[in-house]
Amino acid sequence: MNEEVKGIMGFSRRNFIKGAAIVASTGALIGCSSGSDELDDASEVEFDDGTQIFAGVCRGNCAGGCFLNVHVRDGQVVRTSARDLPDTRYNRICVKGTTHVGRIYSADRIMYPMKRTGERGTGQFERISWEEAIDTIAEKWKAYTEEFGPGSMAVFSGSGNYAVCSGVAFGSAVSRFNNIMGTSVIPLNVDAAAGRAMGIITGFGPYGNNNEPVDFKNSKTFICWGANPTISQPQIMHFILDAKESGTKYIVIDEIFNANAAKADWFIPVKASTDGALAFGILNEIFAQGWQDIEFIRAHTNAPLLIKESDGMFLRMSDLGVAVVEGEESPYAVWDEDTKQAVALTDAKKPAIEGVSDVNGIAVQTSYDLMKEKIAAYPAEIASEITGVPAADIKELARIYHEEGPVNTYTMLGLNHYINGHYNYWSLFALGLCTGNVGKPGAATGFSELMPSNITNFMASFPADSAGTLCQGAGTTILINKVGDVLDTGQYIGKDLVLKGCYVTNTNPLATMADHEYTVSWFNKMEFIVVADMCLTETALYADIVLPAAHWFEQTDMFTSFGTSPYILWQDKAIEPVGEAKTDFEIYQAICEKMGYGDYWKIEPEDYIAAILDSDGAKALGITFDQFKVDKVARILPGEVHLSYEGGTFVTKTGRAQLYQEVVVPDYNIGQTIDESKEKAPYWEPSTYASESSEARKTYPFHLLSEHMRTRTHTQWWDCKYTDEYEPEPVLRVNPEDAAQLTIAEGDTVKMFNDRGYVVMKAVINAGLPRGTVSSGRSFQADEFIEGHFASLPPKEFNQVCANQSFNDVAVGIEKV
Amino acid sequence: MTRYGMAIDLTRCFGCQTCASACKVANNLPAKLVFNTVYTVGGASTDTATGTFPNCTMSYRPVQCQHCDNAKCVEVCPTGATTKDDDGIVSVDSELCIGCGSCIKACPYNVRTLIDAEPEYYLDVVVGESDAPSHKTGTVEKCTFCKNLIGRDEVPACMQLCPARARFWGDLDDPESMVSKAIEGRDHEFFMEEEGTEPKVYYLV
Repeated sequence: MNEEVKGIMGFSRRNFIKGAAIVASTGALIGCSSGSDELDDASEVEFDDGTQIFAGVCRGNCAGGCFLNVHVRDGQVVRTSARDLPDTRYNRICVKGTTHVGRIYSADRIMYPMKRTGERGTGQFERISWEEAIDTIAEKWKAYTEEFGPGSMAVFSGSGNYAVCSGVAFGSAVSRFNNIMGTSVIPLNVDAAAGRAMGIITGFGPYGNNNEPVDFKNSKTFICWGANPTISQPQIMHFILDAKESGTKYIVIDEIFNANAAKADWFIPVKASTDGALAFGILNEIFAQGWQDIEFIRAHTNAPLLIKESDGMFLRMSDLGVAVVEGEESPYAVWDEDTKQAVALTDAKKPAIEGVSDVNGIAVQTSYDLMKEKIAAYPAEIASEITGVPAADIKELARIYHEEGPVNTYTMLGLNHYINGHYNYWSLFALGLCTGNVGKPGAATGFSELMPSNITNFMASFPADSAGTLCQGAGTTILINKVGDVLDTGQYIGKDLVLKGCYVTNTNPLATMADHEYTVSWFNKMEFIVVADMCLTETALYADIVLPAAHWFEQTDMFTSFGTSPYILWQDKAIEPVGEAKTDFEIYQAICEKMGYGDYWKIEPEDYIAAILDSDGAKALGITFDQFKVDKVARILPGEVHLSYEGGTFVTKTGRAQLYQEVVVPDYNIGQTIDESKEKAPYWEPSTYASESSEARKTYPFHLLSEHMRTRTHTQWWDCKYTDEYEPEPVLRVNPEDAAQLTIAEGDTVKMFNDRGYVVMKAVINAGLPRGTVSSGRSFQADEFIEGHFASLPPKEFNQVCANQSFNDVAVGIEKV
Repeated sequence: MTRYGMAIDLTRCFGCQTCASACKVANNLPAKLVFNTVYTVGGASTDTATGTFPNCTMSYRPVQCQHCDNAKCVEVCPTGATTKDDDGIVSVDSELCIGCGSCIKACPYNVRTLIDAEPEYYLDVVVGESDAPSHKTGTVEKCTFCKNLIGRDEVPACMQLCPARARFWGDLDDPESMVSKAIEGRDHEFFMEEEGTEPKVYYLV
């Protein structure tokens, strides 16, 4: 079927021409630049009834990055629809994108600045002027800075907007604000297991480590492993369906049967967070059968590097007496099978990947042999016991990886949200690497998301004043699960750090962060809290000063990060901000000015967009600010169809994917003890709470899986009544036999609980859940539960090297209320 | 002769609700009025499966007015408010409708709603197309096939962009139309075919 038949219908060309003619006749065709306080005059379409169409971007952390037509009549948004992208196969919108009017004009919208008049969390506020709000913030901030230094105020920005001016995209202006003000930084510490694994093993490409979606149809087998694109990445799903229609076999590996599994040719249920063991089991069979792609492994991974038995470091030519060239590192040594001697990696004709135990009297082992040793402990039968996947299925998967390629192993964050999260990914990536399923048409292994380091000038967020003096730079980054300790002790990792206040933007941590009670406790210990948001979130209720932030369509901006199409996108200022809302960009500017740092922020949004795009990478792709402003869209992936690591070139020091790392760099360092044997090579251990064999499951017998929702992006859209029609309240989904045993019927009220807290909601019977597993949407706020809070149940503790929120590493008890 | 119809590919639909919400906003529908509903075919509630794990099934069926060629609602309407137009669209004239509800009883698809009181809206502002249906108290409403939009060369709101690329519309009598091409060579079914309504919404299976 052609694209028209595929149901892709933007506004017709005829309408655009008609519209442009009308606009031209009124003398308002595309023209002058708009400052932050002017509406864009770039609506190309004006219909007979006065409706204008602006370019807009839906840009929360889902992260579709949907290019929209914003329909405006009489200065008010009336509708949103999908807007054509240059490659219309990428056109996109969803239930959220179609209902922006429900957010812009929500009864929960914050209309003006407010100050708190009652207890925190109770929502008692009094209207104040912007002047009073900014004066109060600056007065407090100045006093704290004078007494305790600039790090006594922290900025906590989340993932609520992936644009550069008012959002949290790569190089965004909130970083500029932090750098100018010298604030402490509270990070989200989320999705870190995935990032850690990708960073170490393959390195970050501009589209994560998968191929761009138009390549999916080139796979003979597409394995969706630990991802649910029907809910979490709906704009990916039609590419998968297209592939399926053209003959690709679709395999889904997931703990539960959901809308995605329902589309699979083969659904393989796996026990929670045992995916790393499953990948080991498949690899074990591949090695047993000799199905590995030896030449890919030899040429494109660090398999030939030699690990010294003495210290676990790689053998270098300096170990063999070759003098080190001044200013350079000694090259890695490998054993060349052709010349039967140790040579530098780059000089080897045919580097040996196995069977090397001694070089010039130094005991060594190849990275490959060490990995195989680890894998040897997981024959299919053992892996089957751990994962619940029958050994025959594990062997069949091995055969598929060998015979039914090219294989795309598509993974996202399903394996991430566990304390053992990053251990799942290394063996999964190794599976793709060892079967040569990387960097070719139809062959890829990993994450599908735009990571635009290639076009981002990060120095845009590190400005100088008019005299050329660089800003002071942000202060300490405090782990989110240590903020309470810092407030209690005035110390962080043995150094004085007095924390008095927090500026919260683009995040709703009270509802979303693991261990709700902990988050509440540290919010209550904070002397002064400012929250900037569009709507009065659960978090905003704890603010001393609430600032009304503009909606995405009420400002000029540029979307760049974590989308699933190859484009960066322009946001027109389509309407004036509702009420007294201001853009986050303007708010930063106002605070900087009041604090005496105004000289660092003499910049308008368009200047900032231009500064971000002032990069070698953007130039290499032919992207200029002026053209981008006209086109409103630019492709930032190189090539016609971007294949991550095309030709087997990885974003690592050696250009090879890593099967071993010689130095372990933890995400955080607070003096914790680290068992390095778990971190240097592929390794797996069970999750702490979710695992069937955990201590926690003895007391709390159910694994709780927290799921994304179709109708919310994290908590965004809680304020939209339209989307509430489809998912009106939190529900606990439970297997029918488990329900019968607990005497729970459809619609009964149930309580979920563990040591950290509890929540009460309605129950729904769902045969798609295995026994012992329950699930629920994770995007509700406190007042939507019958009692308690869903975010009370997950733990805040971190893995030894990975600072990550483990939303799914949760065991719960359940009782009918 | 133009004969508008739709095709919905049930092998592609994954229940995202975008057709339903796009319709709701473009038509400025009040809180309790729905033209498009996406039903889960599986468990008792939305997005739940049936079967015994892991041998489960779950699918979706988006349902709106089927614009039947043999429309029961047209037959029973006592005032002539519900008619089948020349282009095949079944429409309700709100000036003639007396809200008697006989069409609601006659229609097997549960897609018609009586606006029995002053409608309540989610928002204080009016949204949607400027010529969206009026939602007059005491009348029955349903999917209009967005005839206001197709009248000016635009597309029905639910068809503007289906994330699954599962929805197709156009002139069933034109072999070159999107809907005709989508149906060509595909197995299809009609919803409640046994009712003899001769619907113009083809479900591709």
